[in-house]
Amino acid sequence: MNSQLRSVEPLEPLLSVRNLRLTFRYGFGGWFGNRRHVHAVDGVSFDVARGEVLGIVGESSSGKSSVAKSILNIHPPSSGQVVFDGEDLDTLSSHEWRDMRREIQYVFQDPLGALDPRMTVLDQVIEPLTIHSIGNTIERRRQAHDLLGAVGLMTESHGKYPHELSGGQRQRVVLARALILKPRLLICDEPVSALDVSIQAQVIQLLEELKKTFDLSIVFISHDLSLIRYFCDTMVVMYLGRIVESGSTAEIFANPRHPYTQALISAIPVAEPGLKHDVIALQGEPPNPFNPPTGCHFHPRCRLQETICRSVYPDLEPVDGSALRVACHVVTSRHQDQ
Amino acid sequence: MSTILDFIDLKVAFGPSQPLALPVVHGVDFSVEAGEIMGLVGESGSGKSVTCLAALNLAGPQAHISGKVRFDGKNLVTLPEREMSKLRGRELAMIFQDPMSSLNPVKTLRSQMFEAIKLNNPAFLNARRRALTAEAIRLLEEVGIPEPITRLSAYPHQLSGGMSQRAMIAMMLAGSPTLLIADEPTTALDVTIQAQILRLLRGLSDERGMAIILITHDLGVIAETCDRVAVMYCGRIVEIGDVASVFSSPAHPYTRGLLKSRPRLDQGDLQLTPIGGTVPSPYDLPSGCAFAPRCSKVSETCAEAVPPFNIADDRGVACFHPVEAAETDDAEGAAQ
Amino acid sequence: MNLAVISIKIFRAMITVFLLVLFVFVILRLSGDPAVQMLGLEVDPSALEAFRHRWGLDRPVWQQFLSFFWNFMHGDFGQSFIGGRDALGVVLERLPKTLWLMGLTTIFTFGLGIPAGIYASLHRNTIADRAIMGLTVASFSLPNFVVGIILIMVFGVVFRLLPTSGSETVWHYIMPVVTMATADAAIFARFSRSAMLEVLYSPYMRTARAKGLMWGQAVRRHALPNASIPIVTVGGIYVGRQIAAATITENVFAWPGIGKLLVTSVQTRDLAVVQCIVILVGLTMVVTNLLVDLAYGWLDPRTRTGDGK
Repeated sequence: MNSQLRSVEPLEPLLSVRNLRLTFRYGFGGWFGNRRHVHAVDGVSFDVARGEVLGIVGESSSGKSSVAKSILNIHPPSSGQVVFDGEDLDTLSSHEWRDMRREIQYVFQDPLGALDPRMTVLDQVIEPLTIHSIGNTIERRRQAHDLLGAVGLMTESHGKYPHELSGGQRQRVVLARALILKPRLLICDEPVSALDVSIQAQVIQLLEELKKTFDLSIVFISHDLSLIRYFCDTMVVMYLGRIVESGSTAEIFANPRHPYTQALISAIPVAEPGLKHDVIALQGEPPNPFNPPTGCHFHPRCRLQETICRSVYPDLEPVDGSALRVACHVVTSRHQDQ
Repeated sequence: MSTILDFIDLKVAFGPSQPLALPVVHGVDFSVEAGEIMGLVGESGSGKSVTCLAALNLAGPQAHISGKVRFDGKNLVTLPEREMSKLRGRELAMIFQDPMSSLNPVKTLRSQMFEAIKLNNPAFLNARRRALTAEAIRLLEEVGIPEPITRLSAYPHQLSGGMSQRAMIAMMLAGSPTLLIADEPTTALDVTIQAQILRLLRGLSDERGMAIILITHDLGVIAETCDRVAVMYCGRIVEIGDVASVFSSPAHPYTRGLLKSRPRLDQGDLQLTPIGGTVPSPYDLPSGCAFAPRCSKVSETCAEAVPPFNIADDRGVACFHPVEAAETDDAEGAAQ
Repeated sequence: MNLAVISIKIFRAMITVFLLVLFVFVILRLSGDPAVQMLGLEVDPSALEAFRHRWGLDRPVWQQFLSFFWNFMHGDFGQSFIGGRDALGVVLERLPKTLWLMGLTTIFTFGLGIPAGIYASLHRNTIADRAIMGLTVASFSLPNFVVGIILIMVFGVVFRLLPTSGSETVWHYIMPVVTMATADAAIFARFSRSAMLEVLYSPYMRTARAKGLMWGQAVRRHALPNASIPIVTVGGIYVGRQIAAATITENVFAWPGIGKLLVTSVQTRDLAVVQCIVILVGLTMVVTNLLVDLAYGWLDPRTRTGDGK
C-alpha cells in the first residue's frame, strides 16, 4: 500500500491542527509556585485530508500520544487550534462534544482495558448506538451483528466476554465499537503494539479494508516505522513534543532529511541477513522532558550539530519545493545554498 | 566449534502437581556453540522464554521440568539448587525484558553491582570498597555507560531504560559468563536504543567469546544480530538453522508466514500477508501439528501426528510438507 | 523533600490538633451539665450556680475556649473538678501504666505478627500458611472487649489463674496485653504477608537469583527491604494510635491508666482532664503520622523529589 503522488486536493482538510500545545504542571515547587512544566506537545501543526492516513511516529517522550489525547479533548489543549471539518473544536460545549464523538473515534493500545469486562461483545458494540439514540433495539442488534462480522468476529463469539477472547479478537471488537457510529476520523494510538506479530498483520489488513469500506481518514500513531511505511500516506516525525520532519511517507523513507529521522529509519532491524545497512547510532540518551536541551531539542545527540543549533529552535521549513518539511538549521541552509 | 549448552528433549509443564500440570514446552532439542549468537524466535505461547528459564531453574516452583540440559558435563535439570546457584551469574548469566523493574528499586546501582562482583568474581570475594568500585567502573565502561562514577550512586528509577539495561548487562558480566541468555532485552526500549543495545551485545560476544541466546519476537532483530536461529511455535521448535539460509529459504510454513507478516519491500511494492487464525492456547492444542489449522499446506497427516524433527546439514524442520526452495510464493496464502 | 513541603505538613498537623481540641471542648459543654454530674440533682440550685460560676461555665462557650486556649499556651491545662488538682498532673500520673501496656502490646504485636506473616508468605498455600491465615481471621473478628471478657471468665473466674483487675504484679499484665495484642498481631500478620507476596515474585527477585543468590539470600537482601517499607509505615501509624486503642481494654480490666481515666472523666464531665487527654492523644497521633510521612521519603528513594524520570 504505497502512496502515489497525490493530485491537488481541492477540498479542505478534514482535520487541521495548528500550533497545538499541551503543557503539564508537576509538583509543588516551594512557596513561590515554581512548578515544573512539561511541554508534552510544543507547537504541533498538521493536516489530515479526507481519505488519508497520517502517521505520527516517535519514541517515548515524543508526545505523540499526547497529541491524540489533545485532539480528542481527553486532555484539553493548553493552546492552539484544532479544526475538524471546518468546526473549531475549542468552541464546543460538552453537549456538542458528544455529537462530535460520533465523527471522531479512537482506538488505543490495550484492547482489554478498553472493553468493559462485564458486558458481552455484542452489547458493547450496541452501546454507542443506544447512547446516541440511533434506531430501535432490533435495528441496533442487527447493525452490531453485521459490523462484528465485517471485522472478522464469528457469530459464536458475539456472546462472549472480553476475557474469553484473544488479543487480536479484542482489538477487532474495539474497532467495531469505534466504527458503529460511522465516524469520519479514526485516531489509532499504537493499535497493534500489544499483539503478536502474526496478529498485527491481520489487524492492519483489517484496518485497510475498513478504511475503504467506511471511507475513513485515519491518524495512525506508532513507534513501529515499518507499519507506518506500509500503511500511512503521509507522516510526521516527532521529537520531544515537536515535529522534526513531515511529508509523504514514500518520500521520507526514500530520502530522510532530518538527522533524527535518518537515525530512526536506519535503526529499524531489517529481516534480511545479508543486507548490510549502516545503523546511524545515536549517542546519548533520550531527552528528559523535565529539562529539555536548549535550542533544537535534538542537538546533543546530533552528528550535524552546529553553534546555532544550541540556541535557536529551527522552524519547519519546506525542502526541495515539495510538501516535505524539515526542522533543522543545517538541512535548511544546505537546501538554500543549492 | 564446541557445544557449550545442549537441550535434549526438554519438557516443561506448569501446575501445582505433576499430573495436573499444563504442558507448555513439549520437547525441545537444540544446542548452542561457544561464542555464537543463537536466536530463539516465536510469538506468545511459543515457550521461548520458559525454555531458557527452565534451563536455569528460574521458572518458579510450579514448573515441572523433564529432559536434559547439558552444560559442562552436568545435567542442569537434575542439578541441586546449591550448585545451580553457583553457576548462575558466573558461567551462565541471564538478562530480562523490562530493565527498569528488574533492578531493586531501593538499592543504589553501586550496591547491586558490588553484590554481583563479590558473588561471582572470586578475585573480589573479600575485596575492599576501592577495588570493588574500580571493577564496577570498568564493567560500566565496558557496556558504554558514560560517567560511571556518578551513575553508581543512582537509584534504578533515576536511570533511563537504555541505561538500566546496560547496567543489568554489566552486572551479569561480573562473573565472565560463557553464555548470556537475553530474554527480549530490547522489547521495552525505543528503537534507537534497541539498536545501541544490540550492537553492544554483538560487540561483547565478539570481544569476550561469549555465547548469547537472544530471545525475541522480532525477526529483524534476529537477522541483524544472530548467527543461528530456532523458530518456536506452541512449545516446539519448528525450524532451526543458520540465519542466512532460514531467512532466504524458510522451510516451515510458519516461518514463511512470519516473515511475510511484516511489511517487506518485495518487487518494489510493500507487501503484508498475515497468517490467518490465531495462536492456540496451551489448554487447547490441536492434535498433531499445532500449526495445522492455520497452514496452507495442511493435509490429513498433519492432524494425526506431531511432525518429527528432521535435521540435515545443520538445518532442521518439523513439518510433513516443508517448503522446498524452488516453490513459489503462490502456494502460500492465509488459511481461513 | 524540601522545607516548604515539610512546613506545610507541620502546619496542617497543628491545624488538625487545634480543630480536635475545639471540637471536644464544644461537645463536652453542650452535652450535659458538669455541675449536675458533679453535685447530683438533689442539690440546691444555688449550689449548682455557684459551681458553674466557680468554673466559669456560665460564660459563653467561645469565651471559655479563649481563656482555655490562653492558659494552654502557658502550659496550664486547667484543673480537675475533683479536688481542684492540676489536670496535667492527674493525667501524667496515670500515663506510665498505659505506656507499659502499650509498650508490651506493641512488642507482642510486632514480635509475633510480623514474623508469622513473613513465614506464611514464604510458605504460601501450605498448611502452615492456611493455619496462620485462619487464625488471624478469627483473632481480629472478635472485638477486643469480647476477648477480654472471655479471658477474664476463663482464666480469672473459672480457673482462677490470673487476677482480673488492677495492675500490681506481673501477672496482672498478661491478660490485658494478650487482649490488645491478639487482634493487632493478626492484622500485622496478614499485612506483612501481603507486603511480602507483593515483592517476592517481582522481576528484581528473579534478577537476584539470576545473579547467583540462593532463594534465602535473595529474600533477605532484596525482598525484605522492599516489603519493610509498607510494614514500617503502617507500624508507625499503629504506634501512634495505641493510646486511644488502650481505652477499651483498660476499662475491661480496670487498668489504672489513661484510658480508664478518660472514661471516668467523661462520665463525670471532668472537663479539664478530658481535654488534657484528648490533646495528648491527638498530638501523639498527629506527630507519629507526620514522622511516618517524613520517614517514607527516606525509606523509599522513589518518593524523594529530585531529578527523577
